[in-house]
Amino acid sequence: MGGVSSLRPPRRVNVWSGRAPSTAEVLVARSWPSDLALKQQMIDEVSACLVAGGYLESDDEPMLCICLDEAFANAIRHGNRQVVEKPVGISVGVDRERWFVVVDDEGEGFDPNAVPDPTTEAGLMAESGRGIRIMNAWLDQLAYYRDGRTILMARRRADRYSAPTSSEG
Amino acid sequence: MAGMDVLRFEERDGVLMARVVAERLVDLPVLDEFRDQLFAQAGSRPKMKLVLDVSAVTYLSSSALGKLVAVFKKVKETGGAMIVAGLKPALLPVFKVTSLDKVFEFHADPTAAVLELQRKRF
Repeated sequence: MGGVSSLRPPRRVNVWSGRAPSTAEVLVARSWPSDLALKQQMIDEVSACLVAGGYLESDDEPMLCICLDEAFANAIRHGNRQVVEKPVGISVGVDRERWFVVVDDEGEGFDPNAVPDPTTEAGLMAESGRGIRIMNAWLDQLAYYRDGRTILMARRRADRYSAPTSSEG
Repeated sequence: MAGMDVLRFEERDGVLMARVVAERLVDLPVLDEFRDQLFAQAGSRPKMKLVLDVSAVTYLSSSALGKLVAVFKKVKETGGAMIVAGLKPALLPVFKVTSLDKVFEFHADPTAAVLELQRKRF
């Protein structure tokens, strides 16, 4: 499930003006200081929560960690400008079909669709700007709210999804 | 950040093998050290032949991809070539979705990658 076949062509990122929708079941919700030194701890906590609950296959952990790293680093560095007192809110939850992670920061927001395409000729040699592309390809849903200050990442639950078996083998 | 344990270098008949020892190519201090050490190597090597052994890397950030691009450009500036070797299959999608699989040359086996670059003539 974690292989190349799990990626789809990137879609346009949804931008919503309101709050993230209410969730079915929140597993963890807490605020963290905007400290990059804590980023790995934040990633480990979310990842462990989803794996322990059976919502994520362990093969998918690297891609999850990449997506979480992008979201947390953006919230701390670009959103809260590493002002430690500014909180980064992280909620992890599940609904009937999906797990989701919602990340809030207190920054000025941004327009994800204004980020240049990293796969153009010029973009290929750029040294930044690939994070949203990666997240958008692996996640089933990547949506921004509050003018880009809240990000919702969601993907189907492993315990509700069986990988299709090949008919050729 | 001098002394940070990010890379180990080994010279193999004209090919520089750089083995990444950091499991996570994620945090900026590690990534800056990674780039700086490889830039320093490129500075003294015309037509640099570089095998970047990433077999120990379990995950990397988009910033790490940026550093790989920077190193790739530096190697190209010397007129040389670079192979990314030992990439874990779980990480290949990151390169595919960013189209960097079309930019970098990959090899599953670092030793075979060294042999390939040893045969290469510029």
